[in-house]
Amino acid sequence: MKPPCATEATELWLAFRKGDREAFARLAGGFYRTLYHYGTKLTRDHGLVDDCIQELFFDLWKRREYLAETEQVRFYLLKALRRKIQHETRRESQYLSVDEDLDFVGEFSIESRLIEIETSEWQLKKLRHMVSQLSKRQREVIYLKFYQELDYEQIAALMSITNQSTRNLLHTALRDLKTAWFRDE
Amino acid sequence: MDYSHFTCEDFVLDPYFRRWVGGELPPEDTFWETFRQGHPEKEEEIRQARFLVAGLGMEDAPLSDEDILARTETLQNRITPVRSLRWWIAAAASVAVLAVGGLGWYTFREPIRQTIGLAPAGQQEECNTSSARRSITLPDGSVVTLEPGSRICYSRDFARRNVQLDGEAFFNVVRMPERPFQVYTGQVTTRVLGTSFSVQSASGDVVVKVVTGKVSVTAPEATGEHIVLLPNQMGVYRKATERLSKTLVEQPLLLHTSPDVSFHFQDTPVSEVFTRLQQSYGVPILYDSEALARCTVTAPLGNESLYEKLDLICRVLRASYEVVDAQIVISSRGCAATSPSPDVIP
Repeated sequence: MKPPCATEATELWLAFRKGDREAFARLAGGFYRTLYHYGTKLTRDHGLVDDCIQELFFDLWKRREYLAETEQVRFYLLKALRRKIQHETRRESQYLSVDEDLDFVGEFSIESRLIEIETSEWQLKKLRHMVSQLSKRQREVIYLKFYQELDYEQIAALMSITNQSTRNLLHTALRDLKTAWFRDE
Repeated sequence: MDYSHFTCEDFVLDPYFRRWVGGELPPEDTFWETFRQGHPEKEEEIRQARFLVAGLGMEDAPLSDEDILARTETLQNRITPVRSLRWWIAAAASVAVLAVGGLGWYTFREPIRQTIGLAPAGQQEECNTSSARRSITLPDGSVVTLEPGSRICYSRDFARRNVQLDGEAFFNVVRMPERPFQVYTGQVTTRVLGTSFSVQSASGDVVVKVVTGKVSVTAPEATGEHIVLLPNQMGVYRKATERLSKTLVEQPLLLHTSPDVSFHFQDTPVSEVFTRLQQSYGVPILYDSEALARCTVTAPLGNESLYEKLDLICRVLRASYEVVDAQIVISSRGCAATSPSPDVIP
C-alpha cells in the first residue's frame, strides 16, 4: 500500500470534504503507513500512535466541511499527527512541561550496504559515534528530509522552528558526520 | 538536472541519489554508474556522500497491509451510521408489540400524514435532511445511499421492488433475476437486475450512471425511448427536448470484473493497448486498425484516469480521440513503418 501521489491525494482530499466515504477510506488507508512510521519515531508507545491516527482521521471526517483545500495533504496529515501525539504525551506525563518538545526517538543505524563501499574500521566507528551525537532535532530534520521528503519550509512549519534553523540543523549535522570520512590529524 | 557542480552535501540531499545508494532504483536505471564514469573528478564527493547516506539508515516499525486494512475498516465503521444487529433485533421486537395495539393509532394518524404531505400508510418514506450522505437498507437487502436533500418512498412490504426517488441516490441492488428492481424518477423509469448505479433527478431531467451490471432506462411512454446501459455508461434524459441519450460517465472507473492487466506499455502494439483499455474499463474503442497497425506505444501508465491515459497515448500516436455515443473514437494519420513511435513519455 503506497501513499497516494500529491495530485491524487489532493483529489481524494477534495472528494472526502464533499462527504465521499470511499475517498476518505482511500486517503486514510493510503497514508496510514506513512503516518505510523512517523508517529512511532515520536513516541515508543505504538498503541498511542494508532489511537492518534484513528482520532486524527475521525476528527477530519467530522470537520470535513470546515477544512480548507490543500495541495500538501501529506504535510497536513504529518503535522496534525505530530500535534496530536504531543498533546497526548503531555497529558499522560506530568513531567513534560508545556513548552517542551517531543523527543524524537527514531535512531539511525549504519546499513549493511555500507560494507559495499570501501570503508575502513575507524571510519565506521567514527561515523557511528558522530551519528549518536546528533540532537533530537537534527535527527527529526534528517528524517523528515530524507524519509518523508518534505521541503525546508514544511519541516520548519512542522517542527515550529524557522526556515533558517532547519537548514542550519541539517547542514551542521552533515558537516559533523562528514568529518568521520577523514582521519584525524 | 545538472549534477556536475554537486558537492558531497548536495548529493546527500538529492532523493534520486539516495535511492541509488539504497539500491531502490530499477536495474535498468544506470544513470549514476554512467555519471561516475563520465565524471571521475566527482568520485571522491560521491564516495563521501554514499558513506553519509548509508550511515543514516533508519528502521521503520513494521505494519502489514492487513493491519492497515483492518484499521481503515474500523474508521469506516465509525463514520458510517450503521445500526448494530442488537439494536435491530430490539427494534423488530418493539414493532411487533406496536402492531398489536397500533391499529387505532394508524386510522387516526393517516389523514394527518396526508395533509402534511407524508407518504400514505404502508408506504415507507426516507428523507435525508442532513448534510452528509445517508445509507438506507431496503427490505430486500439492497442499499440506497441518499444524497442530502433527497427522498425515497417504497412500499413497506416491498413485494414489488419499486422505489420512488426525488433527488439523487446511489443504489446497490441485491440480485434477484425474477424480481426486477425499478426506480421511478418523474416520468423516467430505471429498471435493473442486481447491479449498482446512481440516479439523479432535478426538475424533470434525469441522469443514471452505472457502476456494475446492466440497467435499462425508459423515457416517458409518449416518446417510447428505451436504452440499455452498461458499466461506465450514463443515460441522460432532458425534459426540455424529451430526449434520452447515452454517453460515458465523466470519470470511467476500472470495472470490478476487469482482468488484472498492466498499463505499463513497452513497445506494445496499439491493438494490444486498446484491447487492454477496452477490457479494463468496458468502454468500446474504435480506431483504424490498418492505419495504426505498425504503431507501438511506450508509456509507463498506472493509476491515471482513463481520459488521462488516452491523452498520453494519443500524444505518442499523434492522434486525437472523442467520445461518441458511449464509445471512444480515435483518429490518427498512422505511423511510419520504419520508426515505430519515436516519442517516449517521461
